[in-house]
Amino acid sequence: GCNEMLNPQPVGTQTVDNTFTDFAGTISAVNGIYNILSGGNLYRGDNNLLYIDYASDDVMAGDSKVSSSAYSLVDYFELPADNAQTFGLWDGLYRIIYRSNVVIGRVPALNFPVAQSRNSAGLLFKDQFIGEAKFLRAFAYFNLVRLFGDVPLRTDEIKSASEVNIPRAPSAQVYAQIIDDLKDAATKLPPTVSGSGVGNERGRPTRWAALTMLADVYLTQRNWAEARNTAAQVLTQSGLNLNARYADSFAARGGSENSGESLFEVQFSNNGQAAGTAGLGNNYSFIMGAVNEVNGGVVSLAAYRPTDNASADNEAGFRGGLIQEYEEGDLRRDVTFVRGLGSGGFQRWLTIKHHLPNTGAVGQVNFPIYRLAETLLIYAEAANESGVLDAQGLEYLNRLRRRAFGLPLTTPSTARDIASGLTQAQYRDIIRSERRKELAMENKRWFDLVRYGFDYANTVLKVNQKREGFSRERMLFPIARIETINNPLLTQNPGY
Amino acid sequence: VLLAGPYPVLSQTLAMTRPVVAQRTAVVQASITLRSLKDVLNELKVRHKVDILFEDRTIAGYTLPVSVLSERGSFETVLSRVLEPFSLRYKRTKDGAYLILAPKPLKKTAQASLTPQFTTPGTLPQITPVMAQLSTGAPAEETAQPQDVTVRGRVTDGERGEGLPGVSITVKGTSRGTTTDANGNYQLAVPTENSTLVFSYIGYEPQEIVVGKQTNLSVVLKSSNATLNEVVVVGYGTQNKRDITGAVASVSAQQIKAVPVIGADQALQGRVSGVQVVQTSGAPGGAVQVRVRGVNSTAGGGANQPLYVVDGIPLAWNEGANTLSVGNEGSTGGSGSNGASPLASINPNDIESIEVLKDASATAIYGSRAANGVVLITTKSGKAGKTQISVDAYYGVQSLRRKIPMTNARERLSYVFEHRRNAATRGNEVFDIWAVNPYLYDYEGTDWQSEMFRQAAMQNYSISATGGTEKLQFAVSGDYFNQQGILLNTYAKRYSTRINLDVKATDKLKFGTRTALSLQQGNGQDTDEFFQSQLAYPQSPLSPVYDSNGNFAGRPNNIINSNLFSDGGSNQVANLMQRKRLYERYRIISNLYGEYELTKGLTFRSSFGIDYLFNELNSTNPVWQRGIDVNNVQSVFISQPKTFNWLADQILTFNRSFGEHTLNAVAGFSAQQFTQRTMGASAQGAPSNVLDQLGNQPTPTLAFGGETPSALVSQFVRANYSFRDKYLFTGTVRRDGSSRFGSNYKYGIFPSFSLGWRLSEEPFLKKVAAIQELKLRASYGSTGNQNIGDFLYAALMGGANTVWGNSVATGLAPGRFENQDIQWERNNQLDVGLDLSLWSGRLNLTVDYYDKLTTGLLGSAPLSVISGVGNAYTTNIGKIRNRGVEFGLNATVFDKNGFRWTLDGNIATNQNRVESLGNLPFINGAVVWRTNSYINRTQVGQPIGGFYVPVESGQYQTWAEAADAPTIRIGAQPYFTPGDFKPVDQNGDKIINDDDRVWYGSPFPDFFGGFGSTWSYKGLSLNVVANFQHGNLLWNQPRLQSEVFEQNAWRVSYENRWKPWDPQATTVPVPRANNPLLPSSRFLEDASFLRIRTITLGYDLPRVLTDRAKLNRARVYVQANNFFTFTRYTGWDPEVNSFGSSVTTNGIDIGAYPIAKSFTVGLSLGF
Repeated sequence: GCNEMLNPQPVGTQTVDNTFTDFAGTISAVNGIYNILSGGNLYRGDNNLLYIDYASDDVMAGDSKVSSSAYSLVDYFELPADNAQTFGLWDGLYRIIYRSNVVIGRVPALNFPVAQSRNSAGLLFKDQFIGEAKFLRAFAYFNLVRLFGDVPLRTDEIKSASEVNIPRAPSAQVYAQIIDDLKDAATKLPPTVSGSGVGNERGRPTRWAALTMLADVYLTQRNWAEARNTAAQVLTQSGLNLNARYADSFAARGGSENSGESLFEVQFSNNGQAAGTAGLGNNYSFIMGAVNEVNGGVVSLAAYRPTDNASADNEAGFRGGLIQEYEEGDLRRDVTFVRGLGSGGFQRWLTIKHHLPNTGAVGQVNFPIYRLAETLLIYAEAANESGVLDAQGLEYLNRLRRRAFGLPLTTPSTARDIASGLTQAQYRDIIRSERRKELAMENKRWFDLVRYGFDYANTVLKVNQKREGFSRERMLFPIARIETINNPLLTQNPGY
Repeated sequence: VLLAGPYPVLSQTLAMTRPVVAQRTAVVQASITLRSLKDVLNELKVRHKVDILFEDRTIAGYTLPVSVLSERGSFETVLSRVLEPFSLRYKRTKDGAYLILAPKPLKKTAQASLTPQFTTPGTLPQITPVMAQLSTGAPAEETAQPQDVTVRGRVTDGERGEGLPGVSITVKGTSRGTTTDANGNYQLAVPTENSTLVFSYIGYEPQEIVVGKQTNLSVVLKSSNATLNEVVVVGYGTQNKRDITGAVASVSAQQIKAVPVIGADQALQGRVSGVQVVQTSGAPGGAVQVRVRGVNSTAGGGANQPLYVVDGIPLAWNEGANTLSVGNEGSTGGSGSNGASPLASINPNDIESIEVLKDASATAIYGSRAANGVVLITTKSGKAGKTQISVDAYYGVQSLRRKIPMTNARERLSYVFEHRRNAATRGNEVFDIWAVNPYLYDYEGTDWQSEMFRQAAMQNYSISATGGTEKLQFAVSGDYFNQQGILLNTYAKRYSTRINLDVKATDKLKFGTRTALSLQQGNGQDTDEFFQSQLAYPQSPLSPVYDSNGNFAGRPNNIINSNLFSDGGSNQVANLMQRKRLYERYRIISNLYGEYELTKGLTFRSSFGIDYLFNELNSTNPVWQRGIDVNNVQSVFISQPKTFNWLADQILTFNRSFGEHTLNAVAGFSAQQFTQRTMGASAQGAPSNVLDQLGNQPTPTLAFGGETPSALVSQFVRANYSFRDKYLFTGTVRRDGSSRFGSNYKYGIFPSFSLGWRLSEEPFLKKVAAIQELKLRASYGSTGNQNIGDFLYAALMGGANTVWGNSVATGLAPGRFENQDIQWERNNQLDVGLDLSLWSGRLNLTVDYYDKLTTGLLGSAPLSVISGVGNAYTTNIGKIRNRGVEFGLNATVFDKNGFRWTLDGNIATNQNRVESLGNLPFINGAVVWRTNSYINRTQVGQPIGGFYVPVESGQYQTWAEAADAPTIRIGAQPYFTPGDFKPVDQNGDKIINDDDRVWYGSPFPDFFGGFGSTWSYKGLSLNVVANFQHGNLLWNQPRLQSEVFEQNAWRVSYENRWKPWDPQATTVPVPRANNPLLPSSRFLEDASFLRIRTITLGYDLPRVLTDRAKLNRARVYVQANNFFTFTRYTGWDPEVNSFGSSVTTNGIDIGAYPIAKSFTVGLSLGF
């Protein structure tokens, strides 16, 4: 009758309420959160999260200071409040939060049929879904709080536009929420995913991913004891091991996706994607250069490039380039970078860690967020900062070094191992250097610099690399101006 | 004896009649009462409320049994029975009166048809005695008295000189009278010389003439302009124009037919005050933008289109389904497709009238869809009587209205160097071209406008038949329309048929149908964006169209700088000829109704209608090779949007008078459901252009499909009440339930009321002879707009797939919050009007003032992205006000001695102002390509989409001056040099940014309108139709492109540019080549225009000739269309709106398909 006519069900699309009624709908909504990572702009290409790497001393824009490209503005700390980059980041991260909140709020009330109730680890899918959502929510807040400081904190589902605007919450409160979420996620997420069946796909976060992120959070908070304990929990209980070769973690460099060492990766695929369409593939060829290794031909001088003391693009007196950080023989350099010929006739280092050479606009190679190597480094750093590096931490560090030089992981190497008995400060420098090389171009270095503190960051950025625009205030990014207009409760970070 | 043989019909009638009458008299013999035929006819007249016209002499002396009056049957049945015995016939005249005709003459000579013969009963002596016997009585004493004078003559039409059949002629003060015969002749016996004859005929001014001594009295009747007596179609019924209290304008079939166009919406142009019709593209079948009393909504698409109702079926207006837009193929940053006219599927010849409902009183009956006015289209219905066959045909030749002179090959080459020098890039190598490129020996080079445009034919053939009996009336028609576009390979065709039937099953039950089928086919109509690019960037004259082998040329391969030849595009003639953008559009609009008279004055009508629209777009880009340019992948795209829309109406109509009170009421229930489906696919890669079907392509690239349902369920009531025919009141309420809104506002109530006062009926004005009608009207009411898309209230999950490993997994994510509070845009309108008719309708004037306030504007409100669903949401924001005054006039200026001059005209103002945008500070228009900037801004206090641009003043003369130029933050040009225009730094901060923009003008005219005039003498007539607008600005993007000199330039730009070798020339109209591109006021031009749309010279063949050819009428005409346009606008045409589907981006010409001029010859025949 008329009532039916006036209340048609949308065809080919679902309402939120209809979605959270069964297993299939719920898992679609859980998958929808991940969509921001692969389909949104956080990691797909030249924008957003990878942008902030330009602020670090590892990555330089492909163009000069005078250019007003967004890369350059970030590189030289001239990014104005009115910018699209931090707006995009903020947007993407809050989309993850909103979608997670919907799942976390609605899933507890659901009951799936027996056949669909438990995952391959024998745990309730319901819990796993809440765990995944909390893991992702923590991931989003962890990035927000490190980039912007105090941020609006919301943990329930927004139901209407009038509820949207809230003020910033103190970062301590945000961190407390992150820790809560990760602790809860660690209890709800399975220790492994079998890789077979819906909900058990490889690539979904496990308990160990949650704990590694938790250790990272503690490290950022300088809670050395908890950071060390949490990392140790992963390293001793997970049964996970490092890959034999450094390149094994990177599908673009001969490794595999979601390898044994992998804890969490942004999953990309170009399956079924027409060339050039926005989809679920990465867009790294655009920023990293479509390197044609076979022909050794001219490459487009891409933006996402490592700092290199010898580059012609540098300011006078430039020091501390990432390329120079690598010792001779460190395989990690050539897994991560390649030297290519630019159109101007100059040789330049280009990033090839994340994209297959000679691939088109849409790449399917994953981007790593957490690997076990980082857990080792977290352990080592936390242990060293708690007093001095312990033997276990030293061994972890040496395993990474042995691998970097193509040596067996567990066989001590007099040539490459770091000596025991050094001071805390000496170990600190070594750990920081190893971390820089091991996790190069993995969206870590900027956060590390901020974590190490203003003095350290100021030295590497302003003193060594002549980034005159750097200041204490620049350790936080501006909140996009349009956001302070649309949400009058928001205040801007100082200095913007 | 005589009855046998050559007159079988007559003999048969008599043979049948006799026994019937005989039988009857036998049965009722005892009590037979006889009455004169005249009495009986008068009785029937009263009983059936019909006009029966007869000449006393024709029926004098006949009597018949009164029992005939108690016989059952419809009026016509009874009338036939009454007349049969006397061999009398009747004819139903055009206006519904019944004319009693004398028996057919038994002998017919060639002369007979020219010289009327009058027969009396006496001329059939063989029959009369029989009849007299049967009626058993002598003829009554009704014959002419001895002193009677017989007057005869002919009544003709003043305009066309034709005889008028069925004119009623009465002797004033008596019941004596007659009517004219088929040729307009009459004969009447009048009692005295002092008698006054009254000649009256519907649609003509009555005339009174004292007989005097004349016995031959021929009269010319003037058609009356007493439009106030017209019946006007209003929503769900009709009303006498006299009783209307709202603002309703009618356009007649004649006016619609006056212009050779595919759709009736184009014919509305300049015809109705306050209705602005803009043909946004000259492409055959291209979009037509109709705005009734301004724009009310900032939403794009159909949100500002009026509701079109065809024979009671509101058409589905859906941008998607009508445009077949397929994204940005060939896009140059333009508007996308402007879509197609919704009326292009309807044959204009089928249309009886179009009514435009403008104020709330008239439109509120359509409630939630009426905010932009309602256009009611009524198609022709059949009438009982002789079958009328009409044939209409025209053939025209169209051509480009105006070619813009461009530079030739040599000039092009010379300023390429200048451009490069100015841009500080070297270009010396190109001089070698002269040596190696043979094309360049031709200094003129290619004239691309001549190559791309052509003379194109336009033709229309339409045939219709109307007629029927009292029981069944029909109107059927067929039509073929074919308009070739002036741009190569573009065309639009239409094939349509219509069947309109009305069946009177019993006295109380009627049913019928209005059914039309049409097919439109075309190429290129949906490719506006593609053509825009061609027109905006005329190709280089250096490039040839064909190479030496006769194949399409591309860039030559024997020169270093081949880019010089392309000017950014490949051979456009080749593109036009080789690429296909075919569309087909099948439409069925059918309505079936039944009507039953429940009691006197109360009628129930039930109708069911459908509107089915099936579109197919087939776009093919073949493999081609032109010079060094190659397209080696063939691609095919097919899209098939379908819209099915059904409608069921149940309506009660009540119509009664009680003494001085008249009540006319309509109450109804209506349900309408729309289903839109779309499906499409694309694929590519077939090796040969012969394999051009989708299935031939080995690589599928896209497949899509979907469905959207929506529905409206409504109730409505309207009451018209009048007291003493003087005080009028109309009240209307419609309640609409729409699937587009959430539970809180699913239903909207739209009331209106209006008052009318016919001052001319008041005693103090009744005495003033000059005033025929003076009515004051006032109305206030509310209507809505629901054209916002479906399910906006619901929190929907959108596709948000993710990946595991390398497999894609289904993901969904909420895209917006539930918003049950979203509701209709509401439009509250006040209208005060006056209708004045003077000198028996020779001058008619209608004046209206209106004030509309649209509240709850559906728009996109800003939202913080911490929402997690993006930075905007659709909700009700803001207010827009439209105010204006409208004048409509028609007059018979001169009418004497067969010469007649009529004039009609209208003019209207509309002031559009944004009153509020909620929290939104402003809405910027779309970024216009090449300026990298918006031109329009919508902000409180300004009209929607007002022009908001920086201004320029003077030029930089020296390097020092230019070096001191402000920094440009709008657009991308980093520096200025001498020869560039100075942007005005409004706030003196040395930065040109949004703060330096000023409000520069409006895309809406200050006033607009149209006029028409007809001069006729006998059969000859000259008709002119014109329209105009004044005060609006238009962004001239083609000129901007020309003045950059990157591509081939207009000659006027080239000649007036700043030249580096003549820096002393301080002020020139055009800056240097390679000047900085600023979105400045420089490119806003006055787009006021006056256009003589058509000049028609027609000739109606005189009766003598048509009769000989056995025709009812015949008319031939020649027509010149769009030959005269007076404007200062320098682009192709001032009547353009490239972003036609948007209102926040408005008044921008990025080089649309220009409107053609044409010369047409036509023929119209009636059988």
